[in-house]
Amino acid sequence: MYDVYKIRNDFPILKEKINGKKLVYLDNAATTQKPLSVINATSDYYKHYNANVHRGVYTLGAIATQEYERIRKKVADFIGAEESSCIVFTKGTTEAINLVAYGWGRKFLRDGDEVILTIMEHHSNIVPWQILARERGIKLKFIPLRDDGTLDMDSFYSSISEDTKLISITYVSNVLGTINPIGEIVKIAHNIRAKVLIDGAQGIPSIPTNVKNLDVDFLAFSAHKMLGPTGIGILYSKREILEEMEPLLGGGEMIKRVSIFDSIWADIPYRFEGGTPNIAGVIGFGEAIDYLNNLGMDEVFKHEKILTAYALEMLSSLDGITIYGPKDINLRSSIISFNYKKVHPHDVATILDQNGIAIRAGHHCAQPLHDALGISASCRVSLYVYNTKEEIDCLIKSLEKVEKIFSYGT
Amino acid sequence: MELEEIYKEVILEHYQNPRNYGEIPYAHSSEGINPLCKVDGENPICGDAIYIQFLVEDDKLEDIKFTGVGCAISQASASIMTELVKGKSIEDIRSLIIRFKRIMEGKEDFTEDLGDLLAFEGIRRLPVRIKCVLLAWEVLLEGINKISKRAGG
Repeated sequence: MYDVYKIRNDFPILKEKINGKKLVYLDNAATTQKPLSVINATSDYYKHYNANVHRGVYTLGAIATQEYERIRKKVADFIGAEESSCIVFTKGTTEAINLVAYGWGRKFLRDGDEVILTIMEHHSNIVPWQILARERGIKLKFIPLRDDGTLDMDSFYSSISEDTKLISITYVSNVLGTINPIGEIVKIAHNIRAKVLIDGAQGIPSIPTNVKNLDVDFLAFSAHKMLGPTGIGILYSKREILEEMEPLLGGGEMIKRVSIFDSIWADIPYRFEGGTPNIAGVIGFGEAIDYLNNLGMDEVFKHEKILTAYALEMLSSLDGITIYGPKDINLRSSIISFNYKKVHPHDVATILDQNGIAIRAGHHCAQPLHDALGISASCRVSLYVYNTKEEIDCLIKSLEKVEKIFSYGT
Repeated sequence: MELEEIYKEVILEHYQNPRNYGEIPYAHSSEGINPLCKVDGENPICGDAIYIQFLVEDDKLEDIKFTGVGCAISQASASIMTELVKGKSIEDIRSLIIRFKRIMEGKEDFTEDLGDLLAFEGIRRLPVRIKCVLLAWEVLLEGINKISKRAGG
């Protein structure tokens, strides 16, 4: 039985007071809070077995390496990857996508090749491709949205061609909460022998996912959006693809043999992990995965669904609110963006902050999407495992204060 | 901090009825007179934007107008600023901008002579919102620097 109040006890920060009020943390799409077990695992590493990985012959180094590799396996199991060599640790989703752009795209994409993106992408799944477009002359195509905030699949079908080499698409929109039909997209892509990269930053934390069943070619996501530490991201890819890819960073750990004019790359995944990695971060991430596994991803998904339905219902009841994204709860995740009473999102966020409520305001690193929606900014509420209905009630009550202040003079 | 200390009536009033809002219609540019200066500024973090047009004659800011999109704080600050700088000499404006920046950054104190700007005192305690207050001021500073360079060159 999913006991959210018991879960909350595991998160020390939820007891903090902000501006004299109880913290109501509703910015989980930016980063999630960390349970004590994750915090402790990170400090235990520094206290008890801090050593560099894959280097020392001494016991301490062996323990650190063993733990680091144990967690690689854990990540592989979490997403259903066939083997742990298919898991590359990066510093975040952004680096993981860049690794595909440079390690794979730079090698295999040529002038005239097409990369298909969507208008709802985060800047980190747009800019690397723009850089590659400048460098390689590849063509970028953007799939628009339908009025309900879902992907325009008709446009998707008409956009693909024999020049399409990659479809790089977000799992879940970090603004609209839209869950994209990844399975369908992968099937179509593979029919035309294009690869598919999934930006899973907002999807993997909430949706039980199996990369083998989905048959995706690349999956990028971040630890810190799923209870883990910042500075850790994952790139998953298939062995045969990784084997062909070039490294992004040259340096220590990523080589087999270095002579003065040439080097031989290390095997996968080490080839892509030049330099000393964020070992403590990886250790902490392992604990975060344990935490989510203990809750059960199906339960996490269900909890978010119930809470999102409640939040949508309560927000919709307010006068003068515009909610973006699908109305159908089955098509969306726990990210809800809105505008209220024509009050600028920053002003809304400042007023809520005075009540201890943390929401995001701005363009959420998705300016093309905001352009398409015809707005410059929005307010974003995003829910996770520890959020409650009471917190949503608190949000609704505080939004009434926004109205009071901005009704000045009317 | 109470919300009333942030969203003071002066700020809300300027936000709802911005002064000098729009564009200068007479974009004339005759020999020897600095033509209309247009300068834009955007805050890349939040996407707030301020567009300023102003006209300088004999080293005096004869007219100024602004448009923009953004929060109450950034837009009210722009409105108050245009009222304060209109008719002043470029050097006086420059010192006012530099002084107000120092004040918002906490390096100097507010003084009574600042008039409507006193409304921003509470916002000094909200580090992320200080740049909203200063956006229009940074844009105008960039504009008068352009004018000075043009005159100097």
